[in-house]
Amino acid sequence: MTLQVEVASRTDPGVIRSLNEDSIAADAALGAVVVADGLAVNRGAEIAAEITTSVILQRLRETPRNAPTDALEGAIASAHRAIRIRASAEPVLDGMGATFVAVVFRDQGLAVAHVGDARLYRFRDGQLDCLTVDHSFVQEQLARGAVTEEEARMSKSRNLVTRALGVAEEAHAEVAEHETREGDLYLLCTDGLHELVDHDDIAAALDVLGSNIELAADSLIKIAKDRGGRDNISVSVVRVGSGDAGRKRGVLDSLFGRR
Amino acid sequence: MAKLVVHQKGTPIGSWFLEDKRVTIGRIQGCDVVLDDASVSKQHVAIEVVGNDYFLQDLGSANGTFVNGMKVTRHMLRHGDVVRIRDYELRYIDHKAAVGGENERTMVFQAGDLAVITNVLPGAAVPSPGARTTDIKLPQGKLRGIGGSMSGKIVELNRAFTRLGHPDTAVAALFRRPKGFYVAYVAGDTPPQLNGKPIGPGWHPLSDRDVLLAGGEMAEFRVGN
Repeated sequence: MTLQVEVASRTDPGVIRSLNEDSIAADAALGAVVVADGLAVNRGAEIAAEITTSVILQRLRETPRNAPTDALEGAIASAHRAIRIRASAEPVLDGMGATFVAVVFRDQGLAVAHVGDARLYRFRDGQLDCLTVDHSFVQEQLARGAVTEEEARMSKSRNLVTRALGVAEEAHAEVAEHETREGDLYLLCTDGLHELVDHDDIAAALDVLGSNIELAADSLIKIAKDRGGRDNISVSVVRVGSGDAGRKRGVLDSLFGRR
Repeated sequence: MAKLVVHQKGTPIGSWFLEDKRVTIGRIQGCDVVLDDASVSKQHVAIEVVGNDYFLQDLGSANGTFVNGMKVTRHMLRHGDVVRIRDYELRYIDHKAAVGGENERTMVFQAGDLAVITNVLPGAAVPSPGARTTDIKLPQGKLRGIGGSMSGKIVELNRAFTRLGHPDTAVAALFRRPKGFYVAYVAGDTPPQLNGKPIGPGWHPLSDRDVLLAGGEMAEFRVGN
């Protein structure tokens, strides 16, 4: 059974760039959300991001009865192949790829897959936790104790990811499962958010605005732009259904002028 | 390209470009940068390449290495850092960082061996990298309770978002932004009020002495501390 979830997504080119090379795809009824950030050697970053989110969501729709981790792994393999096939057809697209995070909510749990530095956060009982570990150079350096947390904040290597979908022979996605609880809030985001918006600010946004996920998603984008908005910014805020979700939705609808 | 500009007692003695390899600094010939003075250890300090950064590593020198006046054993170099080794001053210059023209496009770092990635410190959970250090300036502000349970109390608006009101009736939020504070209607059956008027969708700028009412809580917004 698919768990009842509500999803609010926003993507924004940011303050400096004109092109948005991020992509989001979500299907609340299926309980699936994918957020991707494209990268390229020459061109194609936005194409790789779009292939990633659309192919993963499409494949998840085609395999609703599979175990969520199996469904995710199959969907990711398809997206990986699709990027490589497209890149091999046009030399200028060679080397394009994407970092992404994909989540499937089902029953009392979720399955999450990620490649690169797109992240999944969970806000529960007033506490924010990051459930993914970045595949990035700086994350590795932190893990080895080679840099301090303060040095990591100032490093010039923050743009280096160690994995990206579509780039290497293998997809190298990391897949994990977590239990969920009613009232949990989840945030999927690209590095355009967490590069500039710190843990405490994300926690404050989900704590104070969490009962209005549309406003929370809007405001996370605003805070990243307030802090420079150098990159494209994408967020999906997900609330795991609770008994009074209907009442809350009524409030949201009146707030946004919908029936 | 980053470089070291070296002075001895205020007199320039040369500059060295830092390339994509380890550089050693010491008294003896064979070091990449030779500082010919008895107070400098034979191999005093090294500069190591880590990704796009340079790290200074003291090699167990007798008289120590100081960066901007602080003794260090290992230090990530930043543009303008002054490294002092007794009578020598080595200034770290990184023009790309200085003009803010860093290429920030995401790139895939081709780690030779993926197995290395799992080679983490045992035990403790590793934190995710925090946000980049920025020099963003945020204003000061506070709420002074003038009705309801917060009457007479002061709430410093020192978080990005602060809640006002009660979940069952009306919740307003205050948003601390570089150009000032804003208020929004978050949730609840009744819109909170700003100076007696219901708050519409979205964020609304606040002025000094604006009065907010949300879920039975009434407060005056004050600019400054």
